[in-house]
Amino acid sequence: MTAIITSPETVQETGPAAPAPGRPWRGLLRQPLGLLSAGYLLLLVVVAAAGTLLTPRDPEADDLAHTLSGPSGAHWLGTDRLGRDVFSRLMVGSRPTLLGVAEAVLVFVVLGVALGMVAGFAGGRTDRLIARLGDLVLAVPGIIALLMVLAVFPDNNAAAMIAFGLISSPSLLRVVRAVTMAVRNELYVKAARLSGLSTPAILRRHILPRLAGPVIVQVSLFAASAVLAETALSFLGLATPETQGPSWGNMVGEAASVISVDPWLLVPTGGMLVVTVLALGLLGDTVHDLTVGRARGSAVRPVRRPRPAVRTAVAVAAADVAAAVADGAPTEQGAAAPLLSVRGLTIAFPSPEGEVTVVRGVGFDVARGECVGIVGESGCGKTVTARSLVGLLPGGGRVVAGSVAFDGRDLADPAGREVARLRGSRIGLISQEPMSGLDPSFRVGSQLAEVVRRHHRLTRRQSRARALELLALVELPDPASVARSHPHELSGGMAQRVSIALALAGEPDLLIADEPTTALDVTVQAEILNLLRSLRVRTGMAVVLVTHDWGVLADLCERAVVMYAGEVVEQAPVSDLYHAPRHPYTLALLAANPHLAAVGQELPAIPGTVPPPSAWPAGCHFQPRCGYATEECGAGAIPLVTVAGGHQARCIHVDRLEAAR
Amino acid sequence: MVREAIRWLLSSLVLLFVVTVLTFVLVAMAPGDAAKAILNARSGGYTPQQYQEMRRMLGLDQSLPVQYWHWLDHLLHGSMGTDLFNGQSVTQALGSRIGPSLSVIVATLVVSGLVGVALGIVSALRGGVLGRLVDVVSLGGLAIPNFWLALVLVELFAVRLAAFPATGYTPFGTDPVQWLRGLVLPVLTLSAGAVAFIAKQTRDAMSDVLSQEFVTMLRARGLSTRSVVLKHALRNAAIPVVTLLGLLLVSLLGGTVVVEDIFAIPGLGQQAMTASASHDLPMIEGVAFLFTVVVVVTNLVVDVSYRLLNPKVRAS
Amino acid sequence: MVRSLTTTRRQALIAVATAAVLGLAACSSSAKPPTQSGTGSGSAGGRVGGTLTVVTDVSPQTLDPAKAVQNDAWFTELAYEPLIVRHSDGTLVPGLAASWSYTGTGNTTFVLHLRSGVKFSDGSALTAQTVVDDLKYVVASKGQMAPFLAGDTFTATDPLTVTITAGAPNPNFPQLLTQDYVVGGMVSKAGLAAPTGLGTSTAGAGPYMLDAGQSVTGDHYTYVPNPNYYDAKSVSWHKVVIRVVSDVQSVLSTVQTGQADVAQGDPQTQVAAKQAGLTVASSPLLWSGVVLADRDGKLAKPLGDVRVRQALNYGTDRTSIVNALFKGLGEPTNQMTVPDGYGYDAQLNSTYPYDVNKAKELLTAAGYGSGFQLKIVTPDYQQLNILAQALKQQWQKIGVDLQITDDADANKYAAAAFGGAFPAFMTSFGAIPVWMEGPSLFMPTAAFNPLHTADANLTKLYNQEAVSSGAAQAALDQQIEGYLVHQAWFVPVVTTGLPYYARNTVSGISTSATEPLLDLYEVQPAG
Repeated sequence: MTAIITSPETVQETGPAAPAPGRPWRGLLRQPLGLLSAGYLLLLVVVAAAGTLLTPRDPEADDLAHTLSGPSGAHWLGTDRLGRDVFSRLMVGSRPTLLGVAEAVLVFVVLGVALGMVAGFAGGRTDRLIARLGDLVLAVPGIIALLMVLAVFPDNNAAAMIAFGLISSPSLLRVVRAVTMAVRNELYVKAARLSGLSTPAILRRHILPRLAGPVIVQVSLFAASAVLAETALSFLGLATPETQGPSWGNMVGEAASVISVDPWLLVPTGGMLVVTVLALGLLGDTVHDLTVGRARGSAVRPVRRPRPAVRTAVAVAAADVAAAVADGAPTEQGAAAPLLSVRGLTIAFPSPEGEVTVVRGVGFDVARGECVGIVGESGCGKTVTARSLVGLLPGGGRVVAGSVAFDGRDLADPAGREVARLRGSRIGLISQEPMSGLDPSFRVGSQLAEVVRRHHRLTRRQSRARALELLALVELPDPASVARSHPHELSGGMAQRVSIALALAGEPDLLIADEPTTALDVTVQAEILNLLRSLRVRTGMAVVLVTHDWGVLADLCERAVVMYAGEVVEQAPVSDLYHAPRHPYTLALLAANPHLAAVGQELPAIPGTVPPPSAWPAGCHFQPRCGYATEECGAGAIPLVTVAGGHQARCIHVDRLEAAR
Repeated sequence: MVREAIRWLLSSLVLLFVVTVLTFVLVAMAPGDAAKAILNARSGGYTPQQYQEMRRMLGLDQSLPVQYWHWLDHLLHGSMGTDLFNGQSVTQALGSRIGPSLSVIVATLVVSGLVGVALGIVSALRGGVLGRLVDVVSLGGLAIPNFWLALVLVELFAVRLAAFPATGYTPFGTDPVQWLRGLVLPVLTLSAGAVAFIAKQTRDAMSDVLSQEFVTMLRARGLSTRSVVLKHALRNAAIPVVTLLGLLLVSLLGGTVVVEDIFAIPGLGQQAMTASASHDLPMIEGVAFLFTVVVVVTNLVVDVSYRLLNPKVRAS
Repeated sequence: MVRSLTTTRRQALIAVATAAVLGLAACSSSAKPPTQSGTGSGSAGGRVGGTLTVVTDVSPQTLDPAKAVQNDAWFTELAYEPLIVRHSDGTLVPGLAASWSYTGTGNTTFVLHLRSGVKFSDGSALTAQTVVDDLKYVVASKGQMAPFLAGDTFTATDPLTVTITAGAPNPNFPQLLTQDYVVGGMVSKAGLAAPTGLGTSTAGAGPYMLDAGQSVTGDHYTYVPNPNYYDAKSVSWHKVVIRVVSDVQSVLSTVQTGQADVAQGDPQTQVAAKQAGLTVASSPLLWSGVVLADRDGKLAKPLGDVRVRQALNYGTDRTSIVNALFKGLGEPTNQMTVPDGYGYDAQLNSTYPYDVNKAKELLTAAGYGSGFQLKIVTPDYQQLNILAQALKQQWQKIGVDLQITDDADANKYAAAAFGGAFPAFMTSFGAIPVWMEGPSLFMPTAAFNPLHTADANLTKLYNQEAVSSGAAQAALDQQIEGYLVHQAWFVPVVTTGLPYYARNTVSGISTSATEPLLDLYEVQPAG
């Protein structure tokens, strides 16, 4: 009877974020377990429908001379107390059981989907009313309800199962409501409404298809509970007595009553239940994975090893790349060894078609105290490059080639132990979205103190004091009150200051700032930039700044690396880049920069978009969008060439660019 | 806060009212009544006069609203009436049975909560084959019928190994060690299924949280994996898990019938079964009332823990 | 098994239906002293002080001896000393009554001489008036046994003498007033004054009394010695705990694992108990089979013909059924009593050998050669529903199509069977003195005769039996049994016992053909 619970899980996860791959069942075919489960269930339905047509023996024919015989050639699963064939009885017994489950599921689905859709679509008072009703039903103790229903309709399987469906339906209702609400608010549905499509039509055309996945998940889980509930009821002697023919419930009950004489009988009867519930559960799981998608590779999950075949392919690609970048190392070397030295960095991500390289052969140096910018459009690999420096690639991404040397240590080793030791203490990271970078559940002070304590031997009291100092350091006006706040109580600017304080807690030598101002409004942007500048001066730390904003770059950085479609296309001191760009992409970027455009002049946008990694052209990645492109550009890998001291560009037309200026 | 409390109180009262009224109506609709059950039990048969007399004695001859009013009136004076069969006060009977039930339920929640959350975390962290394995194993726990597992456990651990008692319940106050020993097998039986739900829910919630930006940032700040997973991610994944634990408690409340039967634990599930089989209205009402109170209190606890876990809910 | 969760408890509700009961040996009213010799002396002293834990799947509805049913006897007999004690060997020995006898002939006046100086657990003294009040309370409570005392006059003819003047002849007062029928247990004056309290507490003069503080209704009942018990040296235990474990498999594992010393078992676990090395005691107690209630053919015309009823008996392969379903638990039977039970006649068991041809001949002769449909209702206990299914298969061979209604809810079954809604019903019936059996089983007003078949011959025999005694009574008992068998009012199939299991920690686990119920107070520490 524990079965009288259906998981509320999907309420949360199939919520607004649920993507909708069109036909989950097509994907089902690729999942062996799911396929097997579906096949088994289908077979079961056929067997139940066929009744005695398929049974090897008459399920009612007794044989008092051979009772409880155990499995044999004549009786594959043995015989019961009256010598009847267990196998045949199990086949026939599937009918009342499945019928009961079907009744429960029908009520469950009809009520859950109908009310859920109405609640989710209508919203407002209707929604609240239905939700309240659902809560009410959910709060009624299920067992009491079933006992009462069975008291009113004794031995009535159908009544019990319908009641079971009814009292369970609110869990489906919640899921359906959540999905409906999410879909309703999507643009195309709004558009459909504006264009005058009737509500039923919208429900049918746009919302029902999206419900299929989550509903199937819920239904299969519920059906599993219903199988157990149906059998538990028969087993308790409350439904389907044996004299009305076999059902799984009364067969299990019978088996249990002879357990001390013949334990075998429990195996086929209980086994049937277990297998069926498992099949339903697995089917639900599979559909769930296909529709909702299991979170693929989380931040904490160690990188999975690729399969050998893929590895070879990647290795080949890497070798290819290595050749292309062999000469691409930055040439300008300071007298002292650089703090950070990146060489031939190549990063790949898993995809259904195997690993895809998204960053290829990136190399640059950062000297102590220096600020280096990484610029480029979205999708060029800037953030991935920055994250790889701290060993925190999302979603199963990994460094497949190249090296990241930090103060003499190699950070790109696959185990990531070296980099883990340096994170927070010598390398800090601040991110694009200050708010989502903070744990919403803990107070700012406590989060900060925890990081402080992690990097310094301090008592709790000392670390709390240090936390306040840090908040003061990032120029927050009232550190004590900020420390007491939860992240959601902060403004974006305050949150970014807190993020910076968190990154500074370990007093790092290098700060990686990934678009630190993008999400902020303009005045706050300036404040944060000022803060970063003054912090650089005060702490003497080096900064790697990821940005697509030339203004920010000019404000903070000495040198910049320009990336396009996973490659470094140019790097140079910032002023050289501004005044003498040697790559058509840099030139185009500069031209599109609003800060530089002359008043009254139309802003030239770069035509086209950055190609995804899977569509990188051979040769120069920029050539399809490049005004200078010639046939040679697509002929082969383009090397990074040094055009001046400390200035490199990946273009065979550097001279034409020079000439054009 | 005060408004919330009032709202909770009001909705609880509505729920209690609805459940007790429905129970009354359903019991009245059920074929047969307590008078018949008592007469059958005592003498195996009865004349119409005897039946009418018994009905009058039990107050069943009054109209339903009047009966309900009497019950409500008694309730307001702190009495839930007496068992129609042996005259025991319902309050007392339920009082003696709530301890065993709660022991089993709470222990099951603790055990399945700990194991389920642990499995869920491992599955969320490791994914792949191990995750699948956790899925299948926990589904298996779900699929094995309670009674079957219970019988196997008894045969193995009580009869063969004599490690735990086969049946019975010892109150904590009498002997804490025996209390614990007596709970082991029933709790194992019930946990097998519960673990599956909790592990699944935990895995989904954890996967979701672990893929969020703040987890990456926590690691970027150098926090240990242990702190990131067990402190920060788990706390953020806790709400759906707590919701599930609340639902589990409610379903265990009566769902322990089979286990109480096999392990002879004098709990509420058994009382519910017996009472409804014998149409013992005061007892049925008592059980329904108590169950609903537990449900209402559980919902309150879940609500309060939402507030503790999620500062945003607290604020609004 | 878990089905027994409902059935055993519901079984208790209709104990009268199974009328599980009692021993035979009618009338030895010889005033033997209690034969509890083993207890007082020597080694027993060392063991006294232990706790006896017994386990049963029966949960008593009430502890009030006037309302309790026979299945609850364990719960009442420890606390309520009966007027007359039935010893395990079947003899009747003095309890609260030192001696008793009928006065005159015709079984209408019965005199009890009470033991002097007896006190109840509440300290009050036993007087003839208490007994009179108690018996009146029994009649007024309309309990299971009330009909056998209704119409009688109870008089305290002196402070320690009670005279019962029967409204109609009653040859079974001595049996009726033992612990086996519960009502023999006497309640104190204070107890009678506040009868509602009797549901969950005790007020008797027995060796023990309920300790309500250590008991949980429906789960376990703890009895402690009654300091006022008149025969203190026969109290063997400092504490007796009766545990209720509703699942019969769990009853077995409870005693198997040493959590209990003694168990009231169940045929379902009897074989396993023996295999587990427990002492198993069982004596025949019940017969199970079909009541062909519609002997006048009101609902099912064919049953009105005796040949049809006989054909059903011939068409039943009892041996196969017993071998398949009751192996080691029971014996095939043709009669409505158990071996050595009241009216038992071994020769009767050859009345209906399995003979399909004979059955078909009889049916053809009666005009039902092409068969007929018969509706039957069955409860779930005592494997009766399985038995019904076996009969359905066997009777198909003689053209009878049995339509089975299976009521797991024993109350519903009772309503259907005893309400006269079915021409036939499955039942298990306890062996019981014939005079008491009549109003339960076969007389026109009997519950098991819901369509009120009246048979002048039978009534005549019954009335003769009521006023008879001794050998004449035994002969009449056999005549009545034989008449019922030949008239084929029933299709009895098997006789079974009620098994008891015990560990080697206790002795005194004995039952006999004349006392198939285990008397708890005879259980003693082993060695």
